[in-house]
Amino acid sequence: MNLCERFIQDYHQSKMFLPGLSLPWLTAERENALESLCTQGLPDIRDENWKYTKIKQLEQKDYCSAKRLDTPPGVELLADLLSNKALDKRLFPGEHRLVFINGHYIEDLSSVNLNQEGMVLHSFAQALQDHEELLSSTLGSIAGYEEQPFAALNTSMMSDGVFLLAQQNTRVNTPIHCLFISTATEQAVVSYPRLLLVLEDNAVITLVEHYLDITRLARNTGQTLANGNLTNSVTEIRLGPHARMNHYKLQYDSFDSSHISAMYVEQQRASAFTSHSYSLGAALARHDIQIRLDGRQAECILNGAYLVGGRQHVDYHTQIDHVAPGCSSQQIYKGVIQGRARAVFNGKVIIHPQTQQSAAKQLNKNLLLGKKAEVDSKPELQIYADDVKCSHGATVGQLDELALFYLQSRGICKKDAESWLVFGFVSEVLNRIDNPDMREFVLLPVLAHLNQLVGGDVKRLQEIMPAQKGTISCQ
Amino acid sequence: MAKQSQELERLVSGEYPHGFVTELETDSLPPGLNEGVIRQISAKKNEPEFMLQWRLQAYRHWLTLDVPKWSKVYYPPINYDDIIYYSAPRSNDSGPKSLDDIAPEILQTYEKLGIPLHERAQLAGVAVDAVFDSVSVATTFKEQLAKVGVIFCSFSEAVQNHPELVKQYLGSVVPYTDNYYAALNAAVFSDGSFCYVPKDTRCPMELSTYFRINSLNTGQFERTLIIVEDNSYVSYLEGCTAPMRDEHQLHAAVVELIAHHHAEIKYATVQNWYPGDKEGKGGIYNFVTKRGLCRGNHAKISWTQVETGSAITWKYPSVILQGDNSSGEFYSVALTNNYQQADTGTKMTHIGRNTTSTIISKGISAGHGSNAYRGLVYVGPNASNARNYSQCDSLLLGEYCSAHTFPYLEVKHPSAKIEHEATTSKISDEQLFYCLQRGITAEDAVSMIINGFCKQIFRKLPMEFAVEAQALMEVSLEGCTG
Repeated sequence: MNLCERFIQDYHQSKMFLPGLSLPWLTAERENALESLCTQGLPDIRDENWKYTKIKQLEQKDYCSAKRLDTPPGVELLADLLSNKALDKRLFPGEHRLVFINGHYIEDLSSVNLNQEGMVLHSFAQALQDHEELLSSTLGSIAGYEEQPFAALNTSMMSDGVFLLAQQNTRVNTPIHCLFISTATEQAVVSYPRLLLVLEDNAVITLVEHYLDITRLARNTGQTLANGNLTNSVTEIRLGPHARMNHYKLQYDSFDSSHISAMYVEQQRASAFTSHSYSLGAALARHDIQIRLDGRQAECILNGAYLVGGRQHVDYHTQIDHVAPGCSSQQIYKGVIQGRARAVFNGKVIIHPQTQQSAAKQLNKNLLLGKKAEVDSKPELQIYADDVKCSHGATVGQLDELALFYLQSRGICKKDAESWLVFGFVSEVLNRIDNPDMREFVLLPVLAHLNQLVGGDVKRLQEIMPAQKGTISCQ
Repeated sequence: MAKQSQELERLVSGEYPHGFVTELETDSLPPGLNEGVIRQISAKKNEPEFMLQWRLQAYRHWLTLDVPKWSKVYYPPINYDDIIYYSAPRSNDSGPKSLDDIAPEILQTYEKLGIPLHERAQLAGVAVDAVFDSVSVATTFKEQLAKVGVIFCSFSEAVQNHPELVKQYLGSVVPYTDNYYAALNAAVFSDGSFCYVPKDTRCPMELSTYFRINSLNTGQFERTLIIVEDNSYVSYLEGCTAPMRDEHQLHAAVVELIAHHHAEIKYATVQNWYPGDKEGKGGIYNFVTKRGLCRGNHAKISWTQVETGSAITWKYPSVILQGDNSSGEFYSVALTNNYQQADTGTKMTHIGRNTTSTIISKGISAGHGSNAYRGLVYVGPNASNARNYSQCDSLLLGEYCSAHTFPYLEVKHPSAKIEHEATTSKISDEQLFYCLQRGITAEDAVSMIINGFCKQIFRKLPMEFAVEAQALMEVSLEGCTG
């Protein structure tokens, strides 16, 4: 049996346990998605969108979908950490927190402030009960699964996740933190988180999608169980007129896990979407980001950085459709590739016919450090209107020898100099985070991971970072 | 200025000036493609056995292939059995011995096209090999070239006179397994140009080939093979035209360049096949495979192309940088107007050490034209210190045109420095306004700005061609301003 067939079999075995069993529309949706998956099959390298990304390593694993356990592994550890107030602020920003372990919502560890006016925030399963009507009309209307086999798989198997509705003029000042913890069990498991975020007119929200290997939180416990899990997530976002959203994604899964995610955003008139995406962990990480600028003056900004080493493989596929005139999009993705790692970037901007006055910018820069490392970059522009300003750029290069020499001549050892320069390279993206708390939240794991990739004295770096005057080491 | 605009008007009113048909008897095979046709072509050309076998292998391989679908061009499927694969102007015997033997109609045709086939050629200092429909009709200056050891002749002659060279190099850069159209070409190609420059020789004049499709329903499949030995240099020009017809005609050519140690090849194309009329009716399908191999160290290959013709252009002149310190260049202007489609670009394959490549591509889309740049820069795992710079700019004229960019960068060596940048925009209103307020008409201003946009590429062309290319741009863009 190949992987696709195993997934299909898994669906048939577990469909009785999926939430929303009593809802016919949901069952129909699941079946449709499954059928689509059957006809599409899983992608291989003959597929243009998967040309550089082999999913062979998934093929070799024997996955089962994660069962809901009474005491999920890692729950105590997490509870410990959460009660540690000093850590808490750094690692878990915001007052709304939803915690998932292997894809299942853990109510005890989550804290959702239900008193927030104008906002509905629920776990997916809960939302199916309380807001069925809204879900039935929006779920799957933003994310398509045509030519997206993994989105189809997620749709058929989605079991838990986040539902957020921000009503008109709602402003939520603190970030909503969705923490997806992956823990080792006897068998490698697949989790299918599904996020549905709807912002009505003028709503303003910040949301964090945080994928984390639990053992990273607790290095000192010595607990290093291998974790070959697969996360297959889908995020759907709809921004109403003038709505604004800051979306953070920090992927720091364990190095032998796989992460395949897709995010679909639909933007109406004058809405603004900003994404900050950081991919650090996972042996195989794939991020599909599809944005539809549906209303005039909509604006989207995508910032991203990927830092990989060892035999890691990271793949960013972005697609921005300018469907309405007068919209603008900006993308900057930077990558550091060490060891035998491989990074893939494919950015597609499509300016549809008649969408005059569109502006699109795209930039992909890669720092190739490893002798056996590889970068495949493909920035694409498809333009069907004439009154546009579009540009894209892509570079692959190394650290500047002169800059290295300069630092060394000032008595800084080579390792440190290298790591500083690499950090400087990544900073361009980090500095685009304007919320200082969030910058710090991202900075910690980025520095820790950089230290692992490049070496060098990160502590010293922290000292020279103005935002880094805290007391806690990132280790 | 006044003189220039008169000139422009003359050019503009001329529309496609090369659209005439020359009436002359031809010797053609019936339409259709099968092994018999290939055997007949081979027999007509009196080819040695190895050529026939090669053609048959290519044909059998072609049968197993599917039409490539990945490019951004759209056209109804081609019925390969409707095409005449061999059409030659009827000659009295085996072929023209001197210019006097060539049918006067053909000479007139080339005169109309402005090719200096006769003594005028001497003034221009260009040696021409002219290919009419499927066969080469004349090669000028052969003797003078022979004096320095340069072989410049039609492909058929090369097969007869230099079979060892043909056998050694044919298909070594573009094997018949390369792609669908290369396989088709390998099976049925009828003629083309052949050029061999021996060691330590600087080819004393510009070499040039002129291609013309004349007969109805013929496909033109020519093959060019250029071999430049150590420390030698050649500059080569290629031009093409075809009559105006409502049917689409297929042109599937293959060009192979081989540069040995310290050799340099400059290959320039001004492609002006009939682009079809305003409604997109007719025109040539130009599906061409061009590739150069920098086989030796310090070899250099440079492609320059001006693509204004053809209903569809599908063409990726590439360079394989195999020798250490070798370099490849690609300069291109592609213009699409009315319903023309172009999917063009290059592949730079860095294999040797310290290799460099430069890509400058300028696309201009007007009317309903669609223009795509598709390029690959590949840096292999042993290609240390590879360097590439790519720049693709697109200019949009009119709200229905489209411009696309598909650059692929594949880098497997950490010392590589690769840069790619692309911009797309229309002519800025400020620029236009500036010209207008200086009393320049809108038409002139646009033509001026476009010339400036393309200057970088035109500068790479030999003088006469640069003038022609500039004129071509103006003709092709007629009526798209306003």
